[in-house]
Amino acid sequence: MAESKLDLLQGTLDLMVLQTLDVMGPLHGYGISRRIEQLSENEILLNQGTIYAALVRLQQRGWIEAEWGVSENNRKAKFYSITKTGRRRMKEDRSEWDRISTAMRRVLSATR
Amino acid sequence: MAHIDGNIREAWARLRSFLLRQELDREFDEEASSHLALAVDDYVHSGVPEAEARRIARLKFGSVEAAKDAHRDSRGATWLEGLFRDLSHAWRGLMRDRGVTLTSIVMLILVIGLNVAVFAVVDTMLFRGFPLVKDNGRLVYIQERHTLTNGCCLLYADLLAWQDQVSPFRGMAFVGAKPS
Repeated sequence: MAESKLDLLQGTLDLMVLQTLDVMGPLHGYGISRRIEQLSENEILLNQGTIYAALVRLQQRGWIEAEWGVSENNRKAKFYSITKTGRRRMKEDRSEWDRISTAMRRVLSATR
Repeated sequence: MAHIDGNIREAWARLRSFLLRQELDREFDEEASSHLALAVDDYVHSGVPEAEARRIARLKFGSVEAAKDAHRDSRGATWLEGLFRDLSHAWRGLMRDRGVTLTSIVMLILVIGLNVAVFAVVDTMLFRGFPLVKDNGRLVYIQERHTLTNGCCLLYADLLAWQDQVSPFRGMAFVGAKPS
């Protein structure tokens, strides 16, 4: 349960990637980072090294899979999609995350 | 159960990453340029001139080398890759100056061989004892000391003479020196 700070940051990025792929379907690395940046209203600006490192990690764990394909404007790109295991893991992580953030909000907003 | 499967799966993926490292590096290069191309497309689409779009996209991507390093790190086989790289570097260094390498190898063989031989003798004589002797604890070493001359070593004739005499010793035999 006790994760180091780096693990926690990696975990949250992993969750965001899984969520993105779950909602948007197969997407390339550029699309994933654009989407995360847009949704977070540019709060989260991703250095691309981090995104691609996360994608490698997720692949190694079997939560996403990758395939080379062609984008809408005919660019060759590597598309990632979420797997069944990945979807299951995402749901677990989401409920965990919800629990933690609810608890944090409660604690941090208590004035008395 | 799923946890153990995950670990094995990851370990296997790391090994695979190590074996395919050159291909994976090349694939990342392709992915990085694909990313930049897509980004430029987006900017151009929203009206930015292409040269400027390229500049912005590259800036936003950050250092490609750093991203490549992060990619390699996350593959999880860095220590193995590092070890391999060090070994092949050392090998190339040795192959560059074969004379020195050959000399070193020969010297090592001689030294190690000598040590093994000496140890075999010492081990037999001092530690474990001779294999054919029944009770090494009762073995004694008889030596002659010449006080008036600087001579050494027992003569075979001496051994024969002693064997003929009555002695407390069950038997006697030469060790080491050749009979003269």
